[in-house]
Amino acid sequence: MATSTETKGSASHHADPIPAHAGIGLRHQHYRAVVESRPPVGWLEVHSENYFGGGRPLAFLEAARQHYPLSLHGVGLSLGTDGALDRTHLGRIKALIARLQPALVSEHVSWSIAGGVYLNDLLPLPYTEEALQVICGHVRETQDFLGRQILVENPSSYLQFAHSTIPEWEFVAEITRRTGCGLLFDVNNVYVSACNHGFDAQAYIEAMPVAAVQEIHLAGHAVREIGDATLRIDDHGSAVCEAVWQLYAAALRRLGSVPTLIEWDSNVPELPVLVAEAMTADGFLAQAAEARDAAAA
Amino acid sequence: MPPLRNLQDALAASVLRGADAPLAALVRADGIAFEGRLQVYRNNTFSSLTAALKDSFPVVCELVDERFFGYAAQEYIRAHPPRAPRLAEYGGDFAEFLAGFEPVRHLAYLPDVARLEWAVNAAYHAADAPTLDPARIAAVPQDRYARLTFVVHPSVQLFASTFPTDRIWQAHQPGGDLETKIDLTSGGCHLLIDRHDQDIRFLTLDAAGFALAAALCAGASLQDAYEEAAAIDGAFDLIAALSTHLGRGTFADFVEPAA
Repeated sequence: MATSTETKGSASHHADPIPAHAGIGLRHQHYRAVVESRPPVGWLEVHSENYFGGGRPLAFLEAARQHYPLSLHGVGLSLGTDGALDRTHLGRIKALIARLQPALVSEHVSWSIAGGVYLNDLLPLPYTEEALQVICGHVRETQDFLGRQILVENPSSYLQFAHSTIPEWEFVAEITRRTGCGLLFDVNNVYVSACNHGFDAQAYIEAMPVAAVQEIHLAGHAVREIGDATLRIDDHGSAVCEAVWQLYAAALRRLGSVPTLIEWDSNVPELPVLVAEAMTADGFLAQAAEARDAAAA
Repeated sequence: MPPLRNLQDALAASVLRGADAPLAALVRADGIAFEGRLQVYRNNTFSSLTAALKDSFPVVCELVDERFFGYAAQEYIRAHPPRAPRLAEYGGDFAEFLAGFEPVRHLAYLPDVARLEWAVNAAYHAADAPTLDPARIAAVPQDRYARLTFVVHPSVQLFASTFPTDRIWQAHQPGGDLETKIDLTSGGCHLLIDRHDQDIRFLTLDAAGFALAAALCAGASLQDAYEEAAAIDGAFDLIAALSTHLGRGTFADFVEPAA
C-alpha cells in the first residue's frame, strides 16, 4: 500500500508528508546534535506538550523543522477521561500545529486525568461500550477543534478490567471506524500487552484496519519479575528487542510500508545509537517492499 | 459494572493515595497480584513527576541530596498533584510546600532557592517577544516621559530574598564554586531575571532599583515608579536605570497615554 499520509485529513497541512522511512523521537538531549549534524533519518516526532512555552525548546525544534518532516505526538490530552476535554490544552496544540505544520498529529487510547488531577501516565481503559463512546466523542471533538484528522495509538497495559467486554484490538479498530481517525500502531505496545495479558499478537495485527494505519512506533521495554511471574514494562528505555523486530516484520507484511518511529525516552543514548535503530527499521521497510514487489511480479 | 468515571477516580486514588480496595475488585486476577500491577502505575506517576520536579529544581535537589529530594517530592506530589497536563507548569507552589515541610525547617534559605529556580524556569519557558527598540523611547520628548508605562518582556521575573540566594544558585551552576562557604547572614539579593538569545540572565539590583522595576512590572507610570525608588534612595538615578533596562531589553513595548 502507498502511505496514506497524503490522502488523509486536510491536504493544506501536509506540505511535508512523512515519508515511508524510519524517523526518530527528538528529545532535548539531542537538540544540538540533530540541528548541527542532520542525521540521515526520514522525519522527527516530538511530544507536543514540551513545546507549549517559547524559548529554547521551540527555537531548536523550529531549526530542526527546516530539515525534517514532523509529527506531533501528544501525551496529555487524556482522550479516555470521562469528563470535559481541556480546551486550553487543545488550543495550545492547535497553535503549535499552525506554527510547525506537522504532517501527523497523534494521541493515545488511554487516559491521564481523573477528578482534575493529571497523573502523567497513560492509564488503561476498560474495554466497554461506555468507554468506547467516551473516547470516540473526544476524538471527534479534537478533530473538529483542530480541523484535521488525528491518529490514536494502541496502548500498553499492566492490568485488565474484569468487566471489559471487547477485545482491545476490536476496541482500537472500532475507534477508527466510528470517528474516521487514523491509527498509530505501536508494535512494542502490542508485544508488551500480549505478553502481560496472554493474547495473540499476530491476531492483533490481523485485526488492524490497514487503511487507517499511518504510523508505526517501535521502542524498547523492561522485563520485571514479580514473584514467579513476568511483567513487561513499556519504559522506552532500551533498544528494540528481537521479538519486537520480528513482530514489526509481521506487521509490515500486513500493513505495507508505514512510516516508523524509534522512541527512546529514558536512559536516552547518544544520537548515533538512535540513528542506528532507525537504519535497522529502514532495512525491514526495504525488505518488506521487496517482498511485496516480488509477490506482485 | 462501575461507571467509567468511578473507575477512573478509583484508579487515581489507588495511584496517589494507596486506596486500593475499590479498584482491586475491578481488576482481572490472572497470575500477578493486584499490588504488583498497581505498583507499575504508581511508579510511573511518582518517578516521572519527581523527575519533572528535579528538572525544575536542580539546585534544591543538590542542596538536600537526591534521596531526600525524592522523599520531599513524593510528599509534595501526594499533597499537590498536577492539575494540568503541562509539566513545565508543575511546581509553582513547591517553594511554599518546602517552607512548611518540617524535615527542612533548619534550611531557612531552601524555599527561597526553590522560588529562584521557579523564576528561572518561568523565564526559560516564557513566550518569545521582540524587545523594545531604545530609539523609540529616544524619539519621545523628555517632558512626556513621566506618564509612560511599559510592557515588560514576557520572560522578565523579579526575585528578592533576605538570603544570598543568587550566590547559592551560582555556586551550583556548571563550573560554580562549591568550595567557598557562603555566609547566610551576608545580605539578601534583588534580581531581575530574563531570557535573552535563549540564555537566562540575572541583573542584580539594589532595593531602589528593584522597587522601580517592580512598579513598572505592575504597570505604574515612570513617574510613580520613580517615586517608589526615590522613597528608598533619595539619590536614585532614574536615567541610568532606564538606560540599563532599555539596553538589556527588559521591555517589549511602551504606552504613552493620551493627554
